[in-house]
Amino acid sequence: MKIVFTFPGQGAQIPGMLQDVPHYVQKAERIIGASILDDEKAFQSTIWIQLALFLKGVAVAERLIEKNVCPQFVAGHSIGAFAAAVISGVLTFEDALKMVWHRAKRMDEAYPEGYGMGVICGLTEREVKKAVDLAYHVQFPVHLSNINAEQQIAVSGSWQGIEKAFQFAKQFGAQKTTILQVPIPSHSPLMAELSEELLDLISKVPLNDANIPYLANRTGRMLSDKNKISEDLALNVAFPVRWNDMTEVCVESGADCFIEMPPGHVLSNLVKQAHETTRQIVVDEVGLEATQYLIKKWKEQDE
Amino acid sequence: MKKITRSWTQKRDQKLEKLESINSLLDGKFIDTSRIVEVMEALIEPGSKVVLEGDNQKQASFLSQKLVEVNPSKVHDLHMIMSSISRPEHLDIFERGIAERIDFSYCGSQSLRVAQMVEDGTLKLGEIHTYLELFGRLFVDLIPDVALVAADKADKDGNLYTGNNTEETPTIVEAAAFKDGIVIVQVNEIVDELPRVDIPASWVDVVVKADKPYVLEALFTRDPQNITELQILMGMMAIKGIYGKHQVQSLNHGIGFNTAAIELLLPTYGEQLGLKGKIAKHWTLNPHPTLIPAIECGWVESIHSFGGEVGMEKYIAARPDIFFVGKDGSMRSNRALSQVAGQFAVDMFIGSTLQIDREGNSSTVTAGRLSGFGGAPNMGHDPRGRRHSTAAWLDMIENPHELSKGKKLVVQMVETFGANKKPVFVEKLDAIKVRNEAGLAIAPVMIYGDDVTHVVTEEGIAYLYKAEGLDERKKALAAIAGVTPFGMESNEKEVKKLREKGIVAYPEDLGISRVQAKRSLLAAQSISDLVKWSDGLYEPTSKFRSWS
Repeated sequence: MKIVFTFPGQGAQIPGMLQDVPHYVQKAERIIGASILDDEKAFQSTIWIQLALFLKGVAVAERLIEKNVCPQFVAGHSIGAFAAAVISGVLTFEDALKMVWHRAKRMDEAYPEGYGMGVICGLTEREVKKAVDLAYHVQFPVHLSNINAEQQIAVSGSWQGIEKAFQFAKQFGAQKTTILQVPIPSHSPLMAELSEELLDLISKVPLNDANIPYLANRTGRMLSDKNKISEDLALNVAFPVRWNDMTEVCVESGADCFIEMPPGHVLSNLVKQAHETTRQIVVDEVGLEATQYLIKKWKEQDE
Repeated sequence: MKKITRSWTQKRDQKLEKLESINSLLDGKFIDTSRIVEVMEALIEPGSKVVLEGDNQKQASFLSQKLVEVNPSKVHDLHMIMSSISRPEHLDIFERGIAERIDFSYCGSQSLRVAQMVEDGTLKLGEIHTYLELFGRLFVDLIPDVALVAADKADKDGNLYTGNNTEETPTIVEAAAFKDGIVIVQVNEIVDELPRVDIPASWVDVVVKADKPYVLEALFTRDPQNITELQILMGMMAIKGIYGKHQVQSLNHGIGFNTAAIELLLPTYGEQLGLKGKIAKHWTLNPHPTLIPAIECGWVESIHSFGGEVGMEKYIAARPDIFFVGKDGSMRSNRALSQVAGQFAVDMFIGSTLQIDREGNSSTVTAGRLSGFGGAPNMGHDPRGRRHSTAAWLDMIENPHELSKGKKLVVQMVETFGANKKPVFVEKLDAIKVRNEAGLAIAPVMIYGDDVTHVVTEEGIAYLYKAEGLDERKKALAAIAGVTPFGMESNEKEVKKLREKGIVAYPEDLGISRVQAKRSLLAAQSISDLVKWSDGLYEPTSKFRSWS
């Protein structure tokens, strides 16, 4: 059995999600020198959403590894990639946290209002690209963003641009269009400046090659090289997350079990849909004990 | 003219020298399981042409896993030749620098990684072949220096038994053995006496017992439970409007649910039509479990197979009048010969596809994925070198003249919208984009439109061989393309004309009522029904069992 740890990105956050990981919160507060919030009001800002997702991902993954549930691959979606990189040993918790803190703050400042993300279901990448190209206007930009599944693709940009892209998408036969709970135009060229800044920042951080292969957001490649991974961590904010490719490369590389770090089950649903024969564990739903039990049982069955 | 002076035994000398270097590790032809990496490092020269047996089903999985463990400073830049890239380590050897270049046929289960590695330059693409072309090149310009293959059993002398899953092993070994290549074989077990000899010991250099039996996939089992009524309707149309109409005696079926439906309709609907004994008697295909009811009802006279199918062994052993079975009772498959048979000796190929363009060209390649061809194009074309005639072949002659010749029936069977809810009929094949992205010399088209004689959809049949000119061909396709954008261009008046001319037939033209297409028409409704038909001889793997 080959296991992938998956780490969710923005949209998965749930108020109060850090209550069961107080040590990580305290450790993080000491590093950034601020109190960390995870209530409903705080989650109106991307800053606290990103911090909470990072902390929770690392905390739960480390607990699983302590319980001898170890991944052969790690794949994080967007901010989840930072937690994945920590678990794969590329950078320390402290350095990753500083990067996340900077990334989140700057994203929050960059587009205070009028921008966000949406998702289109039922169209292919090529069809969404066409909708986005037709909807694009310099004043109201919109871009093709995360490719979560073959026919579940995000768009990112100004609200006007997104609305217009939705209109074209419906003309092309989209089944569903939804606005996401993400108040910033993430994973689009609108974040290019920030990605350059992060590239500069990460170049000063001591790095190691991954001891667990890491799936790159931007290219969908499986990586171990520290420089390529750090480049992905910095640049992914300005490029679509190729989640569909990331999980497919895992499956082609022999992965047959995906364990999703809390909160939520968004990533498991996507993987299950694309790869019916794989096993899924949603830690948020079954808990740590049951996760450990299932893995032990399946390993025995396989032998 | 001057005679050159050289040694004419260079390759043989080099081979002997290499084998000599591992003499201390050899006990006859046998080496210890734990020494295989060392042996590969000694025998495989950097830059060699290496055939690693990754078939459609059987995988030389022990040797492929051990090849990843060789030291890349000793073994590197290999030119791999593989009919199927199917396991993760088949690509890991490129990431580690052990291999550099590849010529292959099929890589369905690794198609994204292959596309990524081609783009990144990690893997240099030779050519993508059909099986027969690749086997052919093993004897021309891709002659292997080393062959790494898998067998079930070896005896003490190194004779091999490959049994049901013989597939292409003899072909690969022959190409290496008679041109001084080195043949290394993994076996599941070593026995005193083989059930039969499939490959003689004199063709083999090194035998190693694998730590685990080779990996074998059950790829050709289709659970009847998943056959839809739409597929049944299409199957009925095909049986009446193609098999029966043209008296198709010999054929190959693809692996889709469409053709599984046909297999299960022969003993019921085919029988009602009085076609038993008149059609579908001789088959080239893997031992599809869904063919069991037709065999049991006396429809089938012979089946030659490319490979085996997990679970069918005992059933096949008990039906030697139908299958190619050795004295020992196990089937002998052979991919090369079955592909030749499917190319030249059958009346009809029928299979499914993912995209068809306006001219009838089809492809299973989709954006960002490079999946290759396998064997479908060998069978899915009209071989111009064919000279024997059969009733069905002659029936394709539309305008007889002094030198007229027949045509193989090449049938594509698709629902107008694919599993992804996108139209199968498209303006432009994704294959064209993939050609550009991967820098291929030609677009990876599975079957060319001018080879296709019939297309079947849930709307009806287009008899493309009857169409005069490209324009009529396009109109015939549009008439059965349903509510796809391309289908909606067809108009009632034109369709009426095409139906009158017999170029298009809708179910009612064939005397088939859509409400007839019920699941109760299938000779078996489930895998357990198939087991019953086989009198318990078919033993499906746990994956296909709803009971334990």
